[in-house]
Amino acid sequence: MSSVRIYRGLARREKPGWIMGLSPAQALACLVLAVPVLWTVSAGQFLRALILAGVCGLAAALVVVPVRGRPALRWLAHVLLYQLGAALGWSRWQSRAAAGELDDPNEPDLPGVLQRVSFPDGPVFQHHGRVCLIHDTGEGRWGATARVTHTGVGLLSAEECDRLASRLGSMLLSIGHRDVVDRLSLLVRTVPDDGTEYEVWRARHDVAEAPDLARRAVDELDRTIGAVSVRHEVFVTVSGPEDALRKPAAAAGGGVEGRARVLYRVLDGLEDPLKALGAGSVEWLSGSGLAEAIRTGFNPDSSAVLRAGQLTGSESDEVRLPLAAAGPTQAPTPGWRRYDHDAYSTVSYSVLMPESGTVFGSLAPLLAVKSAGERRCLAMHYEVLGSRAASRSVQGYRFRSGVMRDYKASKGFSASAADDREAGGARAQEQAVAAGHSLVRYAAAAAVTVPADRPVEDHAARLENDAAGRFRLLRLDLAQDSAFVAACLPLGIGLPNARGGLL
Amino acid sequence: MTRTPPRGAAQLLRDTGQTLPHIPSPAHPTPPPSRGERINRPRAPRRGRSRPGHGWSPVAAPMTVYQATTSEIGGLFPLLAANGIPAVGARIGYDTLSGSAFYAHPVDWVLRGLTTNPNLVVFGEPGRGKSSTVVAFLLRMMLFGTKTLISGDVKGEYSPLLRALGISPIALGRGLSTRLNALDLGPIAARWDSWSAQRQRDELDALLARWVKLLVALAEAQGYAPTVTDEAVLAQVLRRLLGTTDGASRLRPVTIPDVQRELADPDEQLWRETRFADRRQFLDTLRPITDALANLITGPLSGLFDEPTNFDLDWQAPIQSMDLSRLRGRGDQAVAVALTCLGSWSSMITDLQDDGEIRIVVRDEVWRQMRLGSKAVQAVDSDLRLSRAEQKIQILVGHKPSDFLSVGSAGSQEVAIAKDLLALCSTRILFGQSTRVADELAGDFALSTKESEVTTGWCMERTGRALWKLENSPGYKVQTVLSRVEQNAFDTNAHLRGNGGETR
Repeated sequence: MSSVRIYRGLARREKPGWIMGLSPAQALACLVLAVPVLWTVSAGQFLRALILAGVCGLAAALVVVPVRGRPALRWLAHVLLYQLGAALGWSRWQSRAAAGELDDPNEPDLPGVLQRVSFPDGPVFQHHGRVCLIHDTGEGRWGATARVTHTGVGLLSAEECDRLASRLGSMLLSIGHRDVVDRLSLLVRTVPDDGTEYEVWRARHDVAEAPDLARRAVDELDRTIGAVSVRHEVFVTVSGPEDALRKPAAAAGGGVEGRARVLYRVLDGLEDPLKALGAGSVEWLSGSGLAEAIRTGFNPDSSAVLRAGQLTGSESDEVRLPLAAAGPTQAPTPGWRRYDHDAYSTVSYSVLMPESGTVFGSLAPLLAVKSAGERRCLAMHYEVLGSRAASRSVQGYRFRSGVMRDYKASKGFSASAADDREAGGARAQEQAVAAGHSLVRYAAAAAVTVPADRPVEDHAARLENDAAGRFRLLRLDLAQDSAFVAACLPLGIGLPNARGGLL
Repeated sequence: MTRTPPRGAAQLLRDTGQTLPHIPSPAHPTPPPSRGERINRPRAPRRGRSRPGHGWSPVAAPMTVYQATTSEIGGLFPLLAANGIPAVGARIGYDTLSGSAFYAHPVDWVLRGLTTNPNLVVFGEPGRGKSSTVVAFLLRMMLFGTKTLISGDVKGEYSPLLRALGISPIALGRGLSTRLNALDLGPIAARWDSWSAQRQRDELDALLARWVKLLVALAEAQGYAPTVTDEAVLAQVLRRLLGTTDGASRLRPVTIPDVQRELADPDEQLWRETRFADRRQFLDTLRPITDALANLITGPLSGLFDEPTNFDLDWQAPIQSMDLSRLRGRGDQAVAVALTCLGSWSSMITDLQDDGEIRIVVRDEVWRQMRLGSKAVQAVDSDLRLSRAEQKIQILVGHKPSDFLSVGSAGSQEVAIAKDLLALCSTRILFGQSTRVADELAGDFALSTKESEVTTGWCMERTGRALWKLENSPGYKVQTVLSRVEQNAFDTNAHLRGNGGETR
């Protein structure tokens, strides 16, 4: 039997502390705060120095001490913004349709961060028809989303798992080589199965003269199996920055259509790698398809009606969901720790990676629904760095991890195991990049959604329990609405932009 | 010589003074921007509009961002959940790995390219829930008009279901007056008059071929290898007995003793027609097959398959079964002969099925039938091969793959074909097994270590748990769920409780 491979080096934070765990800005703030204290000491005013030391120490603590992932000062800013939004009613949401102001059904009407996104239709893409582009006007990105079916990995041997893992890496690497796109998001949703597909199929194939016993048995199973089974939805989103797309798009005819054509070339080449990852079919979403994916993200219940309409209705425009109806109807001001949308509540988390490494499939518990009616989402957002940025980053990492260790060694202290691991990880990353691999910036988000009348805190605690021992979940307090977009909606939004200059 | 360029339709009309009606091009979803206009204009601020009721996001999601190399990132593989099987056919239970409901529709699987043929093979130790799962599948498929034939119910496991459906199974054997004619016309007799002369001729040819094959297989079961001459004479005898040679418009019923009598006492016309020099030569040449058929009439099988069928069979019933549990007293040979006769019958039924109708044929303990010799093995083999064309789902039920290898001596042709039978069943349903057999299964079905562990571990923990393997795709850990109605109807342990299998 082969041994199970442990994947390491996944927990390297993008913005690590430089000097004793502090970022340059934080270190500078500490220095600035120390100046008045030293000043007063040098002036011999010891009482004032003491008072100043207290005040400045407090201020430094606010800047430096991280509480649940964010330094206190940032918390403060977030609370103020949150209170502002709540007090002025800005963070409340009501759809235009609910307000009776709907004018154009094809105009997207979505809350919060989604307002900056537009959804132009691209030209016809081979047999997929028109593919809806996702244009993030705020960040200047163009993308497209596909709905994917997947065969699962539950019973694969360790070798096959390793192969899948390396294929995911190669796919990301190949994206990095394409220049046009740089981000890929994989979203998996475990949703309660409403059984619509089966109902529709049964209605079509049911025979009137079927034995009564068969009918009774099947009806009973509807109630027992039907009530608790789940379904999986898998989406993949790729996107590229406007800067990279502009030139080739101009050559391809310019405008939205030119950008779409350039993007299509990438999408075409992505199907085979996705199939190698175990995807059965890859269906690039049209406008209504994307509207449905967003709508069911906000309201899992609506999938029954939409699926039934799709399966029974013709492909006419009446059964298609307009983009204006993709969002929730109402959403009150999001809570500190939860987001309510329509008749559902969602709690979203950022997934923190373990220092000690992880094995293939360790994310599975985050998706394993254990109580009926609950939905879980897991989104992974990747951004592949170009080769130059990658080698610069690993060199910086190696240098940083080396500086402290060397300093300690020069002073006669032995290096701690953590220091050694850090240095080993840095070396391993540098070697991998030198061997042709690249670096991926990534973030993982998980969320649990339940009907509003259920105790969402219980379900959230269960998700945290399921992750315990493998990953730590960081609840994204005060940002539950934007975290929902990152965790539950297949739009490729969620990875914060790299702030240049730090690395 | 200069040629004028060809004119288009519009030009042609213009030249004749008319204009083509203008059809506006379909509305473009996004009008192309005028030159200089920026495509990438922000629609809204990054976190939404700061207006009441617009859902402004006060804080952008503070996601924790990591960096990893592409060589390690695959360790966080998120595509873990399976979309599962399409929701069509019989709902069997749960796929416990993904938590989704598990459906089975072998014909639809073929159409969707999940499998290459609709045949199922079921293996498992006794008492692990094999028959409950098969019976549940049969019952749930009935809702969609699927008809089932249990081609020999050796243990009487399917009879409770038939009784629950109000159908009485055909039971043969000790203490029963039921007789089945191996050469019964079956549903053909009822439909004969409604057919055109051409159709009658075609059906007759098919029927004769099938009967000859059956008689030959029965003779072979007794150790005699029939020759082509035997087959030709048998075809001629059957033709005469059916009355088609003398122009009768109706088919006369034929039994095995009729055939044997004709062979043992041929009239002149017969031996002349079959080009023998004289009667003596005819008798000498055909002696082995004549005696082989005689043994069927006088041996332990006497009175079972050699008299006219004395019961009415409902060909339109959703399920028909032949209960052979009382036949076991007459030895394995009797069961095997009964199964061969049934096999011939079932292929006749399916030949007559309407287009689009799916029929399921269950062969429980199929190895018993295959022990009759290479012809019997070939018969099963050809049925499996044709199932795709005939819209037939063949279900083979056994304990372990090596059951199939007991059909002949090691290295024989029968064993070779029997081994290939497994490859002709795209869907493999593997119930709990002991470790020894599990190794055999793992080898035959190319199971991964994890899958093999599932059959020896997880499947053994509860009844009704099985590994469903569709071709070579990863298996599904399926727990069959029985409704209360079904639990009452197919209690396979009823006979242990002593209530004779009646529904509780």
